[in-house]
Order: sequence, then structure tokens, then C-alpha cells
Amino acid sequence: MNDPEIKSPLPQGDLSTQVASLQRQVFTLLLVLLVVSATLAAYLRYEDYIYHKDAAAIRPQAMQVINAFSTVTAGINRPALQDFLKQLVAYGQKNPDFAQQVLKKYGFAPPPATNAPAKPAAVAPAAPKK
Amino acid sequence: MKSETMNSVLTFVLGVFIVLGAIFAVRAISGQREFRALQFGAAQSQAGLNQLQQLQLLVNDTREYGKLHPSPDITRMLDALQAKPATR
Repeated sequence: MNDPEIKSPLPQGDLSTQVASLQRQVFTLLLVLLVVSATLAAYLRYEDYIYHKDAAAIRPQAMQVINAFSTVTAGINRPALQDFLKQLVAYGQKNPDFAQQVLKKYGFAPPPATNAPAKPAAVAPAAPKK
Repeated sequence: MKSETMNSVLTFVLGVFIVLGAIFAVRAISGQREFRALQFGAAQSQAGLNQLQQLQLLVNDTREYGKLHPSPDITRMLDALQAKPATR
């Protein structure tokens, strides 16, 4: 079997010129890609630095507040507190004076009484249609 | 030959930058999450502390109201709250 001879339609000089041109292109593209990836890496490094710096800056204060809240809530009897609030609201419904003086100040104003006298219906009869 | 070596070097450096970019991206994301978690936790805790402060004031006002308008109901409520302390 004979190996088929590959014949280039271009002369040898043109081929080497094209290969050289392609090599230059690959080199240029690699260089561009390198610059882009370096820029991206630098940007991400900057973001990393900023976020860690910000987190470190607020950490002491944030932990102080979080710890204070944890310490305070650890000693809270939530059911007793809920009961107390319910009883206060119920007491306020029975004693409007208390609701006005104390509960309203804290946004616990009881809903308006539902057994209030109904608004009297309009007594004037509708004008007869002519 | 020289061109191939140069391309290999560039490809290697490119790989290094890509790996570094991935590492920095992961670190930036974790830093951002930590920052937001701290911010959120602090805001929530501060709001909770403010609510507790308001509750303490409510208890104090109720006590004052009970002194001015003595009522067994108020005394009972405050006693029950003190028996099972709601706030320290």
C-alpha cells in the first residue's frame, strides 16, 4: 500500500508564513488571557481583603451585642412573659384608663370594643323617585 | 522551539492565575457571608434588646400605675411575673 502523498495547495513559503502567523496569534491570545485572569484575580483578592477587613471591624461590636442578647434572653421565661402581656391586654380591655395611660404608649392598645352601640341607621327616608 | 517554550510558560502562569482567582473568589464569598451574618445577627440582637427594654419600661409603668390605682389584678400579674422572673 502506498501512503497517499499529501500535497499542500500552498507553496512551502506560504505555509511557514501562516504557521508563524498562527503562533503569533496564539501568543497574543495567551497574553491577553493572562492579563484578563491576572486582573480578575487581583480584583477578587481586593474583594476578599475588603470583606475580611469589614468583618473584622464589626466583629467586636457585633459579638458584644449578640452576647448581651444571648445572656439576657437566657434568663427569660418566655411563657410567663407571654402570659403577663396577655393579662395586661385583657386588663386594658376592662380598664380603658390603663389602656390609655400605659398600654397605648407601648403599642398594645386593645382593639376597639366590638360591643359598642351600633351606629344608628339613617333615619331620613330616601327621597321618593320621581 | 523558543515560541513553544514561551507558550508553555504563559499557559503555566495562566493556570496559576486561574487557581489563585478561584481561591480568592472562595475566600471573598466566605468573607462576605461572615460579614453579612455578623451584621444580621447584631441587628437582630439589637432589636431584641430594644424590645426587652420596652418590656421592662412597660413593667415599670404598670407597677407605677398599680401604685396610683391599686388593683388586685395588677398586683397578681406583677407578682406572677416576679415569681417567674421574665427579665433579669
